[in-house]
Amino acid sequence: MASSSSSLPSPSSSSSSSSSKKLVLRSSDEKHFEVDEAVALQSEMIKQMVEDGFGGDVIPLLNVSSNILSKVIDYCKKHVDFDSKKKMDDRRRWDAEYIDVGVDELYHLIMAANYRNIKGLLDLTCQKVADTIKGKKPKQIRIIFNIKNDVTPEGEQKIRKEHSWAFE
Amino acid sequence: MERLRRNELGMDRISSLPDSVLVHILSFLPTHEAVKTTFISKKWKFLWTQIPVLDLDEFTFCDERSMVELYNALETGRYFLSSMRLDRQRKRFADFVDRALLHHDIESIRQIQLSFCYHEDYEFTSRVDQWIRFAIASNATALELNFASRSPSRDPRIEGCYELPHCPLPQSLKFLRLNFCEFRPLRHGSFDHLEIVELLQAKLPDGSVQDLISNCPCLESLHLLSCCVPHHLVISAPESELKCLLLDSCSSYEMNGIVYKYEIDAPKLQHFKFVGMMLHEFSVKRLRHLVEAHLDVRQLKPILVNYVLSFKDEIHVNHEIALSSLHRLNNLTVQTRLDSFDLLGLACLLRSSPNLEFLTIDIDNHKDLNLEYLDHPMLPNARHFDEMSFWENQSSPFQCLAKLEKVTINDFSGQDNEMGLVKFLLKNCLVLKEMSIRYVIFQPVSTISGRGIDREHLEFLQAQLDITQELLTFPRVSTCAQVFCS
Repeated sequence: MASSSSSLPSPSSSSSSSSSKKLVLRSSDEKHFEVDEAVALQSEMIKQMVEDGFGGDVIPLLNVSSNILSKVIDYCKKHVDFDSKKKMDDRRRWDAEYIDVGVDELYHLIMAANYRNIKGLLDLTCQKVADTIKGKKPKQIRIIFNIKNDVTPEGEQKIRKEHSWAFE
Repeated sequence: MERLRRNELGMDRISSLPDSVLVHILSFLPTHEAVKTTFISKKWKFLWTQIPVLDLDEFTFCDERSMVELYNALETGRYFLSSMRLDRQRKRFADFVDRALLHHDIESIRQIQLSFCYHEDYEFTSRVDQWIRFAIASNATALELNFASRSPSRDPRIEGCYELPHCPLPQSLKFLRLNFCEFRPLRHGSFDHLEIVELLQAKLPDGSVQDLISNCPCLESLHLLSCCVPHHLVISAPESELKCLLLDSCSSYEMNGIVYKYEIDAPKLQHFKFVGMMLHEFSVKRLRHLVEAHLDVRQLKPILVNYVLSFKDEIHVNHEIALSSLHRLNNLTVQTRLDSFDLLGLACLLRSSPNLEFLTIDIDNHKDLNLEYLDHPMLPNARHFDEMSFWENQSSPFQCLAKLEKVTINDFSGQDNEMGLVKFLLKNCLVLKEMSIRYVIFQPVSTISGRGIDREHLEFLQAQLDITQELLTFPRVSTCAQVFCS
């Protein structure tokens, strides 16, 4: 799916046929990706750009690196497939495997999904974070995500008092 | 998949996400879990107050022992004798809901789910009214108020269920699910955007279903599950958008719980499912858009299939009645006894569904037919009826025989009437690809243990083998038809 800039077809040829129309996406590290329009249109933002007439050019994605972009394209491709077949079990299994990533990658995927406005991927990644938080104590959550506790012990005491209704 | 690998660079990635994303993450958590994140750091302190989804569930505040105790208390009518432990847990939930609603930013709410176990003597009933008023004052598009918690057996006919306060529901509402409460739509204003309504174990006084339909111009899907309805249930929606209707196990206010008359008129209906007991009259008008029907009548089934077809208001029990109204129906599931009563109706259904491609027949082997219905005046000639040769003697054509691709028969036991149907279908279904026959599960008749059962089981399997062999000899008109037995 990732192709170097040299093998890239000229943008003008990509707008010819309608059924297999291609779009070219450029990652922040200047790699070009040629994808089917249907795949790229999973992103609401790209859809908007195409509607606004940017479809023929290379679409620059300034803050998405090539390794994250290729992973995002994986997701979109697979889900274009799923949408036409409606196999819920397959989809769930695939999603579960897809999202089995480390915190850093998860973060980049969330950012990409949020910035590109890909609802399915945003839900999947956010659900993953929520599942990780679920059932854990604040202290454990801080460790997993390297969150610095910037509340003073007195402050914490105060919050604990204010929120006593939420805790046993 | 469960454990997220820790980030090795030591950077706090998550907190650098935009607030909107963090709030989105929290909206996947039950509210009591989301509230706990207030402790994580300053950044997280108020995030939970912005979540668009409130999920408040008493069940998560009680341990399993308490819940078992609570359900037992409800079943045996000893609600008062609950333990202090249970009371404490339930009070914690009530306190939690009070405070969560107080601190939360009502403007951001889009979806509210409240679930707890209501009882007439619930000590916090006045607080419940406040919670509901809060929910109603929001701009929620989805509202789920469950007053039965996880219990599937609360009966609004016997127990006092919750009565919603008289005030309008949010105008923005698109989805409404109510469980174990009384619902009188006229008390709650109009529902301009409501598309999906699911009512479970709800008390629906006379006219309320009709009021709901006339006040919901956008209603597409209506589910009534184990609801208490009038004995004459009218769902008349000639102008409505209603596409999906599910009537499952509803009963009436009558002593015997019987709904004597169903009258349904929804011309745009595409999916129709009926589960329950059917007596007397059942009329569904104008089904020309029906794509999928699921009919499962547990008792007194005979009358079902005949009546479901009464195209006009009067009832036809004509042997070879055909309706042109089901021409979009392509997937049909029928639970039937395949006895003299049902065969009439089944033939009628098949004849009325020229484009049927998938047919599933669940054979009901329970021999609990009430004999007095054999002489039901609505069923002439019921006793003088030959089940064996029924299909061969049909003279009017079945157009669906040219379309049927897959037939599944569940709980097959190889009786003559069942074999007769299979034979008929194999002989006449022109494009049949698959006939799946699933045998009934072995249940020993003899009470002697050990060898007696073994021998019985062996004979059962032998009989099954014989039936399978016979099935395989039936001529098939479709060259690609495969028969599977399991």
